[in-house]
Amino acid sequence: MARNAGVSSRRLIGAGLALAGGVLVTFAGVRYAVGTVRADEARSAWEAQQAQAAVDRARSLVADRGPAPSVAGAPVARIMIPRIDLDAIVLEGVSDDELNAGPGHFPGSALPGDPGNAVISAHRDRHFSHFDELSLGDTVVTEARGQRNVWVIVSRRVVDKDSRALFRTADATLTLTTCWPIRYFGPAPDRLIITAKPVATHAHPQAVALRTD
Amino acid sequence: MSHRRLLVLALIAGLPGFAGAQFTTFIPPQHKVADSIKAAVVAQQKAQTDTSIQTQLANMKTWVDSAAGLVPTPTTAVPDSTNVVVPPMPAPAPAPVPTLPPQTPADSVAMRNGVRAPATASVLPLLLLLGGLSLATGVTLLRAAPAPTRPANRGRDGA
Repeated sequence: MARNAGVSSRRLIGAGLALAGGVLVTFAGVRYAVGTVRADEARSAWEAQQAQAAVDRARSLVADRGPAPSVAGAPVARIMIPRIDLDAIVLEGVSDDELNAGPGHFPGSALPGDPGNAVISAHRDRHFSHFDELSLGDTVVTEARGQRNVWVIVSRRVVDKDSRALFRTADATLTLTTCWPIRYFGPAPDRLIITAKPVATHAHPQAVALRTD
Repeated sequence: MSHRRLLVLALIAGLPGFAGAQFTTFIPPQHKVADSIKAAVVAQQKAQTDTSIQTQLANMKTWVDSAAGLVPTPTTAVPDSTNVVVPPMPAPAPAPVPTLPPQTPADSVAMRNGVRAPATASVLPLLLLLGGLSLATGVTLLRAAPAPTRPANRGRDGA
């Protein structure tokens, strides 16, 4: 009788652990899946937006540089880093929802290519998961507001998560941030901050893409 | 009167005079209170002299600045050097540091000077690891624990 009670309690504990583990794994998996779906939606919206911008430019209905977008979650830029095969659509905002779907553009900072400091952040376990492989001199390409900018990484530093490390700049600067260390379970205690300076600017990315094709 | 008596009388009359001569050569100890007062008076006079010199120099600087067309800076009051409490020397002005406004956890929503990097820390990897470990442990326990014996089997074994 006592043996049956021990076996029953062990099975009960096992079932509870399995259930809790299943819930945790499912939650994390659903969160990742939602992020992936939202990233795809953001890419579709970005492509539609770029196509509309190209049509508008062709019709000369709008100026090349429109007003700054401020809608949270809206696609505002595209970032490409060939070194780590990154090609992602940047969303406006750095809240959990935006960062779950893609890199987030820090509200109030400049857009890539505009004068000022453009800050883009992302999770270390998703879009910026290979940021530890970046080094000085690597190239970053951004597209925003109808222009393509090529940047070169000039600075790479690790700061405490509470460090006030972001500042406005007068000239065009691209700042990429993520958590550090990259391989870390739990909330990472530090931040990796990568700074890049522009080396080339091309107007109308579609035109550049057509020429290169 | 014999000579001995005369000598005794002379000694009696002369000893007080001798003793008095000893007292007249007594050098009294220095009167410290009187000295400190005197020193204080001298120090005060010297301080007043110094103060007046400093004031004159300050005024001269003001006059030179005004003659040169510069805006005269307000001169600070010259401290009285006779005060017991010496005022501390003014510390050199620190280098101008950009004042950063107090920051709250909700500050990661707008860019400004001296803002923290956005909170990109994610607990999903930790949840995934804990969930996986918990799931594996639970499945292992379930497999290790044999199924409870059924009463029917027990009755058949007993027969």
